[in-house]
Amino acid sequence: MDSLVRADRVTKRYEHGAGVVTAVDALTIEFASGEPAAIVGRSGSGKSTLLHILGGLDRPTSGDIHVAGRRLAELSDNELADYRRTTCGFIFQFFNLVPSMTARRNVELPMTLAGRDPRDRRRRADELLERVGLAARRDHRPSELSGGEQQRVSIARALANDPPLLLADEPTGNLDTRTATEIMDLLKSLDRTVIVVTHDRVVADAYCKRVVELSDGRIASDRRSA
Amino acid sequence: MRPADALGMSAGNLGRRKGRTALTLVGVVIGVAALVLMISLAVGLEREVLKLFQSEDTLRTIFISRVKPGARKGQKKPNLFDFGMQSVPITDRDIAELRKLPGVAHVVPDINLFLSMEIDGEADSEEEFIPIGGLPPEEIEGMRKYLLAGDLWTDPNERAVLIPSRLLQVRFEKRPQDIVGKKVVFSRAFTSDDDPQLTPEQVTFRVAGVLDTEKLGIKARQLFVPMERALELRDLTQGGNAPLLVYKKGSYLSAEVKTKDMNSVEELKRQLGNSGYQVLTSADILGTVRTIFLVIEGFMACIGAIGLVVSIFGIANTMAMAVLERTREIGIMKAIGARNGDVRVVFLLEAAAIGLIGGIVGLGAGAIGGVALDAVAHGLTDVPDDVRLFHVSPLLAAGAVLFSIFVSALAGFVPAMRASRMDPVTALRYE
Repeated sequence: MDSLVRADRVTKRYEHGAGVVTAVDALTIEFASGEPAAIVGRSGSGKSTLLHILGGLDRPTSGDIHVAGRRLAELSDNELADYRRTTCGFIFQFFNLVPSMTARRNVELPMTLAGRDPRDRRRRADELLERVGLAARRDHRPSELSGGEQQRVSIARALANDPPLLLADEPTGNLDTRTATEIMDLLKSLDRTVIVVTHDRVVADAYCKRVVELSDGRIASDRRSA
Repeated sequence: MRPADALGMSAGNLGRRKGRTALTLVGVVIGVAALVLMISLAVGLEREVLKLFQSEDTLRTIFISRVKPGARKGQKKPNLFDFGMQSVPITDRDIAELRKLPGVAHVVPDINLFLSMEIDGEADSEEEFIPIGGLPPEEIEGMRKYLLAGDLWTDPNERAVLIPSRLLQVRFEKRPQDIVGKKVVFSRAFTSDDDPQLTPEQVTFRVAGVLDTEKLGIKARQLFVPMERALELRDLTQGGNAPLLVYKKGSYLSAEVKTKDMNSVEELKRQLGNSGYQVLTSADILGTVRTIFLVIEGFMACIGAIGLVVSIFGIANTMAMAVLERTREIGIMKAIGARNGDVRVVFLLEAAAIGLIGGIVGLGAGAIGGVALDAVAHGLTDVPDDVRLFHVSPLLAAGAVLFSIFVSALAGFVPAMRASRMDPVTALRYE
């Protein structure tokens, strides 16, 4: 299988008060195209930091990331922004929708930033909202939506510019079990490479063929189920 | 991001915090209104002054005088306020020679005569001497277009007078149509009885007509009598109350050379300058007046701009708060692919929009304020009805709004830069 994401001896250190914290420690890993993967580990294990680095939200202290043929270290800030907009979609634990915008406007936002034609992006947003089952709620603001609905909107938003890679940071962490199941079902149905960071082993095992466990910024185990 | 989308986002953000935006706007509105008011006053005054010099008759006129050779070494440019303390009079003979120059229509000596006058037995309310000008026969017909009432004289030797309307209105409180045909009596003192040398017949004139001050331009302060009669009056009164030169028959402090058309003004000016005359044209005066007003306008602009400068801090504060409040939103925008420039432009546009709205409203307020103050000025003083003290020119209007936008964007610059440079991960963690 082709590797979509390749991290090569990636290290991330933070200055923390007087000391230095190593969140990710010389980590090398590849993710194949089309293979849903989960990154698990206790809090502080470096899993979110790794996801941020893969998503171009953060830069590693050292090491190299290749995603879909692009070397992230070479990208300027603007190119990295373009990468976040076009190559990977991000899904957050706390949904991170813009509170003042309706569901539809939130889904449109990545396309707005990409400079797409208003009619075009509205049609696409409506399509995506329909796909996540929220066509009827497109004119509601996030405060008028339940947690599960907000996460659906944020999934639709992540898909807006049709990125090959979806990165989800604890997507079910703020949802009840039933809603969590629905969201994971939805993510699984999307037919693209999804990397999920979660502390919920049940979710990881149920939905991901591959489960990578991090501990102190290093890979503690890397299992594939049949 | 498309500019229209950035604009839409900024407008939406401003709309979400109406109260705060409105309060910030008040500062900008007051600043711009003060700026517009100050500059429009200077511009209005300048326009009124320039009007005086811009009649065609004035533009065809070259004012000449003469100074002692060597009196002012190295000075080439005539000075508007340099009254000729060392002047050499211009004589009847000089005038006869000047008349022969090509391009010259005629030459009118300034008889520099100031007398008091009574109209229809009533004295001047301000008890000031009134300048009297001689009108040569060549110029009589040219006065017809300025007539408000009455008619021109037909006999150039008649003792008749043309009176400018404003003088009549301000000093005698009479209406033009009421005084045509009435008697005017001149004297050196304030009542004709005090001047025993003059016979009543010599100083009694008929009001032939009233001239429109507005159209007349710079010469609207003086009365006109036929040139022959003006010279006679001057000799009879030994120069009247001429303030600048000791009276001598047949010699004058200065003269006006009227050209046949406006194109010959510059050539004649050069020629006269070479012949030893101090020359001054309306264009020179206009230039000096413009320079003076440029300085005044600059000064007024500085005072007016203080308000706007103060409002900068209001805008900067509002924008800094907006950035802080929307930290998480900025993080979201960046996480889903906004470039630094996208974030920056949204905040800059918000600041600029405050400037735009404040600029337009302030411009309106300033303009209305000007009209109101104009009305007050007309009510309290005898400023003529058609004089506008405050004038908002298109340039001033555009300049005020653009300046307001610029200053506001400047105030928003630092907050916008801070927003654009935020680290997305940190911004997303912000509560």
